[in-house]
Amino acid sequence: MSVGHSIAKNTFTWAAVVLLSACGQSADSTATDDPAAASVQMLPDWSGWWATAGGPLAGGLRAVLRDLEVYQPEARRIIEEASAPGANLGGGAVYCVPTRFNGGSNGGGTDDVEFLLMPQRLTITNGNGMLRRVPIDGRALRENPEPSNGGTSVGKWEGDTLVIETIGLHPDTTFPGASHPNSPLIGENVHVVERLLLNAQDQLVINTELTAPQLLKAPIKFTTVYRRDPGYIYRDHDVCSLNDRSIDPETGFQRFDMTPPADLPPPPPN
Amino acid sequence: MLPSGQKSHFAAKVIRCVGVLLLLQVPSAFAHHSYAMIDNSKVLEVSATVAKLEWINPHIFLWVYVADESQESGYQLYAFETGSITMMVKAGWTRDDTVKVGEEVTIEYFPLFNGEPGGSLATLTHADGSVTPGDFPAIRFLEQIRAAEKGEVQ
Repeated sequence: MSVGHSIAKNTFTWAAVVLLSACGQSADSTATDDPAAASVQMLPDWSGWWATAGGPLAGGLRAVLRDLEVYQPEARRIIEEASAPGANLGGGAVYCVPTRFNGGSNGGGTDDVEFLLMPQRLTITNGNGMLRRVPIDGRALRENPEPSNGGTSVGKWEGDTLVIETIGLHPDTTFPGASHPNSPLIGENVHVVERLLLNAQDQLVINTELTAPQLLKAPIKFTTVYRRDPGYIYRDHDVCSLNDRSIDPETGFQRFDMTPPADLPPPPPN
Repeated sequence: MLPSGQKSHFAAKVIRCVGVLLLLQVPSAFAHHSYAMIDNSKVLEVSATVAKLEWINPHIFLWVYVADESQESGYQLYAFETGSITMMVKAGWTRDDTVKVGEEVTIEYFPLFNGEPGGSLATLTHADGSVTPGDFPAIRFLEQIRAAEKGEVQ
């Protein structure tokens, strides 16, 4: 039985429990008395930390983006300029924006991801602090929501696949890294559809279609495969330029700070 | 095998290609520093004594003393940048055990364009011959350079 059918059945069971209780009769002894707990049991096990299978360089998006033709001309110009040897990248203050979802990735390369699945909500967060909340309660996607760091999403089950639709992303979020200086912006009217499925190999597979008309010439499709990463230990990862010695506070440009720590031991004796 | 006169041009193309690919990395954790100050076309090596491992965000720094007779102290202080704590932990680094103060090590690194003593750490070899890899982009640059030297394209 699929997840969607299981939850629908359990909702029916819950309604039956309420109705029978109201009539003064005991509920079916085979049904759980705790509909919330039963709903949780019906859900697939997406618990724990997840990393992209194959390491930080893996992922279908990277393969798609190798072809710079997918980008609109201005986005391509920015990428080519920024990747030139010796390019002077600046704009360090951009690092202080909160971690955002840009439609390309939920993380998982160096910042593992959690998919916190509950009966009527999925919360996606990662080691970098990204936060997305996806209601799965039948509500419709709001029209024209205000921009937010995680976007505005709704989810629905199609069999065992959770389909998430997202809009309302900040148009000034960079791509493909979500806080990278001198990168193209995702722009307005971004629309993301993700299909999440736990496959038989215990991998969480996300098939994504990203529409970003100011960034990309046409929608792109890519697949991200996540594997469980039980050894991952969360650590703070603060990339705000206020705490970054490699950003010159005078200019905002990057530098290699050669100021030695105050507590260096003396050199070894000659 | 490429003629020797074409090697530097070929290597430059490879490095530019790697630059594009690195810029296109998806993980957001990667995305806070460029390598604009670093000459990724050149790998240097020094033997050094570990002075301090700065276990800090957003990037870990390793400070070492390198013997240098031109200095009054007989040593030059070098600074090597690696990845973030998150990335280096994934690469197997730990705050307390990867290197010890006073340890003798050999470091492969990409130098700074401005010639100051330091750069981006590629590999760290311990006295027993074991090798600790640096940040994964640095390793990728190193692999690409080695492949270009052999006339291979990865």
